[in-house]
Amino acid sequence: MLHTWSWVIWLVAASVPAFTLRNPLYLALVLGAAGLVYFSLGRTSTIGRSWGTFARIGLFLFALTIPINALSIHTGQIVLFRLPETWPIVGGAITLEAVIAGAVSGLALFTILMVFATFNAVVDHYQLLRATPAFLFQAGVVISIAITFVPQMVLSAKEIREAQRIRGHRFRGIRDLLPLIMPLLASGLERAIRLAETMEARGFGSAVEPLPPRRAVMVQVGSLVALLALLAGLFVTAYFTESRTWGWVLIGLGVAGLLAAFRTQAGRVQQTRYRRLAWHGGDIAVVVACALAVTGFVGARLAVPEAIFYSPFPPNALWPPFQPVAGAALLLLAVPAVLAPRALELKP
Amino acid sequence: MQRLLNAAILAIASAIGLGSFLYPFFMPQQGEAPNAMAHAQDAPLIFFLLVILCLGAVVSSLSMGSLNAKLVAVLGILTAANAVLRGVPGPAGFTLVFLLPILCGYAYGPTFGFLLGVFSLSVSAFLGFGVGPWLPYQMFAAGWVGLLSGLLPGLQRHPRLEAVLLATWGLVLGFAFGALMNIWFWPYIMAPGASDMYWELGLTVPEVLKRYAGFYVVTSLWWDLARAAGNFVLLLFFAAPVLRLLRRFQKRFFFEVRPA
Repeated sequence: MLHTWSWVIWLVAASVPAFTLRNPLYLALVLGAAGLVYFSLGRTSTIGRSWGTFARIGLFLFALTIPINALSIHTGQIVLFRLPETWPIVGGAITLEAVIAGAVSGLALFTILMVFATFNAVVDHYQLLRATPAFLFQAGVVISIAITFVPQMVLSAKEIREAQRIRGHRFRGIRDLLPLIMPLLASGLERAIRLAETMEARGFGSAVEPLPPRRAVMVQVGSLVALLALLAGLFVTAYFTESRTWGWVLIGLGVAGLLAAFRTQAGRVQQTRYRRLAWHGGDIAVVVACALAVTGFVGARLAVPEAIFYSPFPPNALWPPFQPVAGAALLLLAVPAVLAPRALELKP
Repeated sequence: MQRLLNAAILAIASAIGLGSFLYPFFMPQQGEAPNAMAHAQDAPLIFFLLVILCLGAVVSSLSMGSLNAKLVAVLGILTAANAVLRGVPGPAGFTLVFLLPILCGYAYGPTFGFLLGVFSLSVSAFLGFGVGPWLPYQMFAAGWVGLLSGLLPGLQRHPRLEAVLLATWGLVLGFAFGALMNIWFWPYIMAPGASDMYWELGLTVPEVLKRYAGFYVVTSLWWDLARAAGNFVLLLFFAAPVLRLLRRFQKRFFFEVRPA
């Protein structure tokens, strides 16, 4: 098993090209790498069944983007056929370029979905939950409580249903759900009170050291100012194109401010781990490969943008450009499929 | 003071989040830069990261400030209940996802509603629905469902009117949630290579909105209709009794012991 964080790094590395590219050749490489990882590692996972759902959603969106683009974009030189000009939106020339643009967008969407689907199939979700960053400590606790109590709630829903049936209640319409929902909620809330008492008794409150009130206010004001800077930066980059640099500076300051606030929040949390996940050789190899892939891709993008970006519309060529080095860098995303140790096999 | 700051953080982060949802409608206006195509292709990633960042800021500031053991416990249990209710199949295929965020937001206030919406969606991602690229958007949108429900006027004295108000609210939110959630893949539906072309053609914001409306009616209106109608019926039937229950428990959860 790979470390949770190396899978998160893989997700980030694979999403950067998947989110920012519309060149079908590179997209196919990313898709292929994700597919390779899934088929060599992910099929043993229990939660991997969502992979099929993601694939279906992706194919549906793929099928949706082609006709919508073809029918609504009317520029291009290779005209397939014409619809009457008087029809709203769809009227006009239907061009091959628009069909290709639709197919490429669909492929991009499909690739993003498959990257996430692969991540879901290969990562251990409970480890992922345990890797919640410290500044979201309480959110992690809430989610853990919820996940722990779901089986109990399902059980008590079943019991309530049976009890109501024995009393002669029949679940036919919507209204008949009320005798199920009310006891479920009431018993759940009672359980929450007991749980809260238990948590207090075991010193839950002391896991987070309270900041002195003045500093707490300062952290909040800092977050607020950072968010305002972010908002202002976005506004400037969107509407004042000549001072875009200042917009980016503001955005950077806002992000830095938020990260600093997160750090302060995280510093208050005292968490200890009973069992730590260890980094193995495979993890290091995967992280290095991901870093190389992103560096290669971003470097190629900065050095030869014309060999990366693709648009089927004239004056661009219809055939997408391709740069072998960038392509090879993206293939590095398939490294986990080769290097990662297989899922733990039980010894006899 | 702290409450005011929390509210301001929530408001600004929500504004950035909403901007990240709606940017495709403003994007076509700025196609004049020489490499506009490159910028348009970066936008989905940038806004995706922004949504995650804002969500982190809101959840950390809300939870660090005001969550004690009681609230952590009750949020966890209600989130679990919501996940279970999501699994109960409704008669017409719709589920009970929004019942609790709307009612809890209304009874326990906007902050609680926001957190319940956010956590409900992330738990169902962990429970097998999977972490999708839409998850941060979905969490924000579900949080807004709870948040906005908390801002409704309290009509505790008129239970009938209250049920009708909440049911209508559920109807509106059913459509609004669907329309908002479709936007995350809208930039892919409308090819960005064409965005500088839009600018040349003078495609303005109302024109893009018109296209989006057409797209919405063709694709997801029918699903949203089922969801909105389901919300309406469920809230009409269940709002009054569930609210009674929530209010009965309110005093047991929302009290604070101050050291003398």
